[in-house]
Amino acid sequence: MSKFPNANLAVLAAGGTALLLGVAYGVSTTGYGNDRIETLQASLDETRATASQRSDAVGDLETALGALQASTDEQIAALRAEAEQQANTAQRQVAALQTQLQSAQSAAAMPPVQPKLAQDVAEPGQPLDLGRAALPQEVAAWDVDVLPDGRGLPVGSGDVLTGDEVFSEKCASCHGDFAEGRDNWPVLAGGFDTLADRDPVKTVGSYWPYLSTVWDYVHRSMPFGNAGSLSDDEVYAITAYILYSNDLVEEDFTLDQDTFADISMPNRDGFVPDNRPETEYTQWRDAPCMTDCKSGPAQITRRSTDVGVTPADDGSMVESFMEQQLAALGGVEWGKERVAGSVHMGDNPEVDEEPVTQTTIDTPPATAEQASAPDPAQLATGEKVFRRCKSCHAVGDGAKNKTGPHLNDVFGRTIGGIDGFKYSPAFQAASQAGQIWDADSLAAFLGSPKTYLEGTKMTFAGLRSDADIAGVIAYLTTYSTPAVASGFSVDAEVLALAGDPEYGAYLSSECTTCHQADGSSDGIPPIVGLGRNAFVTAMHAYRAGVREHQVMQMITGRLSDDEIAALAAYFEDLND
Amino acid sequence: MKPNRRAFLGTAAAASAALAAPMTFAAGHAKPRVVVVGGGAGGATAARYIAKDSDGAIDVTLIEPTRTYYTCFFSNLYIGGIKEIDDLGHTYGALASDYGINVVHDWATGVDRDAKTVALAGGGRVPYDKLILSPGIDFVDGAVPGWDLSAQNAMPHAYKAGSQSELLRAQLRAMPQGGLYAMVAPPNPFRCPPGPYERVSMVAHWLKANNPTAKILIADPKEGFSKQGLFEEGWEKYYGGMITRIGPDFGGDNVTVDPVAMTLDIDGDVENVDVCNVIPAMKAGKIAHDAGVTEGNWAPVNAADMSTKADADIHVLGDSSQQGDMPKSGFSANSQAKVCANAVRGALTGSTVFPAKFSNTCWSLIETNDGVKVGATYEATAEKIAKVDGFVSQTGESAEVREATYVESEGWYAGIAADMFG
Repeated sequence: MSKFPNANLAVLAAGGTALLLGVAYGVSTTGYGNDRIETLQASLDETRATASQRSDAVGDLETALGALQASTDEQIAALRAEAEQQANTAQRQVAALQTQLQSAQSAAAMPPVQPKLAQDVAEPGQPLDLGRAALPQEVAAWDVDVLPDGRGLPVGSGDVLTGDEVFSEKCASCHGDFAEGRDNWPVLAGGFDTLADRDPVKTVGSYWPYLSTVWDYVHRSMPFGNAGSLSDDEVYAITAYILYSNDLVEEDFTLDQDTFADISMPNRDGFVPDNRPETEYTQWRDAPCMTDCKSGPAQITRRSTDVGVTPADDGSMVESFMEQQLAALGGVEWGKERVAGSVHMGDNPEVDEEPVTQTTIDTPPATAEQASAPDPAQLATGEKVFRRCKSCHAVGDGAKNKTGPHLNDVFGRTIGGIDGFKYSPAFQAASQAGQIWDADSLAAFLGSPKTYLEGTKMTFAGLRSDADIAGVIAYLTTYSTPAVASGFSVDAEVLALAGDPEYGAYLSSECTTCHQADGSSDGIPPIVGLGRNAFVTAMHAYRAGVREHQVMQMITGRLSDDEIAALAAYFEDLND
Repeated sequence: MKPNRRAFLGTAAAASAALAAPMTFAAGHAKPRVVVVGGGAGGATAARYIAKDSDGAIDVTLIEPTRTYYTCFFSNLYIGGIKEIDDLGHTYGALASDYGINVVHDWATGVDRDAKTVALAGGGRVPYDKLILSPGIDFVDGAVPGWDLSAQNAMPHAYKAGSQSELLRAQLRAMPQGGLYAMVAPPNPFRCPPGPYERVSMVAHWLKANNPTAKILIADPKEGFSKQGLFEEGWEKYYGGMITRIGPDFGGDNVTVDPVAMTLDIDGDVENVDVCNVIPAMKAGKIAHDAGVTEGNWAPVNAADMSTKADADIHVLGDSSQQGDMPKSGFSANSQAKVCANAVRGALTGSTVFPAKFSNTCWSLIETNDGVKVGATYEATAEKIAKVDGFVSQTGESAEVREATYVESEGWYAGIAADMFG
């Protein structure tokens, strides 16, 4: 069948669209002002002209029909009917517009209630004589796509640091704190120069040709399960952060509808027109085989149970085919390589320094330390920011070394001081020099790890905001002996005071109303087994107000140095 | 502490001690003898500390009528359904078996101060060199017109924990939907100043979940009460509209009850009530009056060692004492007991007597995981136990702080139970 009639129908449809545009415009301008009337009149003229063109099109079509005598009579009849319908419709629209013009004139005294511009009116999708034209707001609600040149981007902006926060909160649970992708969720950063590999890492940075797609996709579809919840500014910020994660912008970059044009994606020219229909498909034009395609009798060569998705007859799940293959390859887990690769993006992790993840470390000394109470807002900031550290650093009960060392009792710890963790030479040197982690050294390190300890293998770029640094330090103090964390110390001579254990026994009776003498803890921490120095330091810290606790500050408030020493002596005896 | 095997064996040992005790005492004694009457926060602590720290040099007898002691503290949580009765029950087995205390389960009915003996309801007299009375509270006769002890089954006080607590909890659960729970609150001074208001909180906690249209009415003779701002904030937050308190300005101090008709008359307005929790005015436990060491309702004591003003060899601890600034609480009694034990040991064995230090903290639960506390330290002056320093929870605290406070109160409960009963 010739393409010719279809082409003509397409012309008709295009003409119809133009007509519909005009009509929709007319309908939508029922705001009824004097200027509206003028516009309507112009529109009416335009529509009449369109109708006239339509008549021309009918003429053309008849010409075309004449040239189509070889076609079937049915086709000709259908085309003619179509053409007539178009013409009739055009006439009806002219009449409708005239009616509207009249009513607009009669309402001329009324102020315009709904100013509109002609370009705000979108293509209507309904037959011309049904429904109403879409309101601009309705059109805008649907018209969300963003084009590669930035058309369609709303007004807004977002910077990398904001994006970091939003990403950490809303994206990192799947995509990882550094956009490295968790488990099998997509990795968004890194992967440069892998596209030609057998297992290419296709990320925004390595693969996506247009930044508009990132903005558009995040805007429409993310976060997974809660699409539409992000503000435009948040989408800008997330997009900026993803660019930053790919080293495509600096950390002070702000993305908005203007700076958008400055970004050129690395793989922009990596795509070529798909000419396979011409070059390849022609090679496969034989009709596909749908029956009895294999010669010889049918054989069962694999079972679905092999891939671990179907229970075997006995109900058990067999080891998946993939697992078997992986085991044969030496137990590599899918995705692990990929994660490591993107975390260490741009870095050269020394293989011999890979930390031993199963290293068992000394459990932190048993203490009665309850969390001191830093500024709650600061603590909240720290807890949030620390999520970015969590993929490598554990803290809290039973925390073990991961990619990075655990951070329990980090304050007062010798830098590089965890036995069994393979530190970089920079840390080993600091350890030998006896450098100690305190608030100052941590702040400097967190601000710029690679500056503070050149050669650290920690790939984190550092925290830019002083508030974030202070927050993380506050957060870590809650996992450290607070008195030590705050730099509080007791004079050596006070620590060395010899207490009277008998007096201590009497004084201790005030403690044992709450703290159980056998060391049990049912909501109040144990007081025995602390060690003399830790006990004395803790008591002095309460008394000095450095450690927060209403009852403990009150009780220690009237204990003298000698009385604290007496208590220490008694509890020390109790330990023996 | 829940009763366990050791506690059971200890109780059996205590029971045999009870049978043997009077005859043993009658035979005369070389060791100094301390008799403690009342096995609660004051008495049990005092007995335990004297026995523990004297290392067998002092003969300690503890007279306590009940075999299982139910703590008043946390009993409101039992009424509200957050704790169970077994959580409150403690036995004296460890005091007998681990500390060698003669635990006598009997009523002390009188004190002969000249002969220095305590009479037991079961017969016999127990001699003492130092007598420590820690009998808790009794109620002032006629404090609430229409109510006396014979009415306590119709209108329970539940201010001595145990069967009264169980009764009040059962009545609360039997209330008709939309019924009225009334409380007649006591005048000052009384045991556990936040207690009635924690109880109202716990009753409301239960009603909110099970009988949400019910109402709570408090008739209160006092202008204000302990932790008032904290409680009222919590009541508004959790139980808005359920709780009405009528203070003395509106006749809350002019109350009559009728336990038969189940009515409450507040300043002439008669209400039909479904539950009526009458907490009358209080006075020292009966034995303190019988011993003749009281003035008015309470027993005045010297702050340095808790000895009574009337008799240097009789000490009174806890709720029954009139000591000065400390509230009547289990924590206070426990604190006073340690000062007293130290002084009694010093007097009988010459051990060092250290200066008195007292402290108290009262935790209250407003709603699940919403705990508040108030506390203070005290010292002994010539006139009284005087407050040194203190603190109180603040309104508007975060949920985390309140939950931590509640968790802390549970830790305190375990701690003081271990401190009392070993």
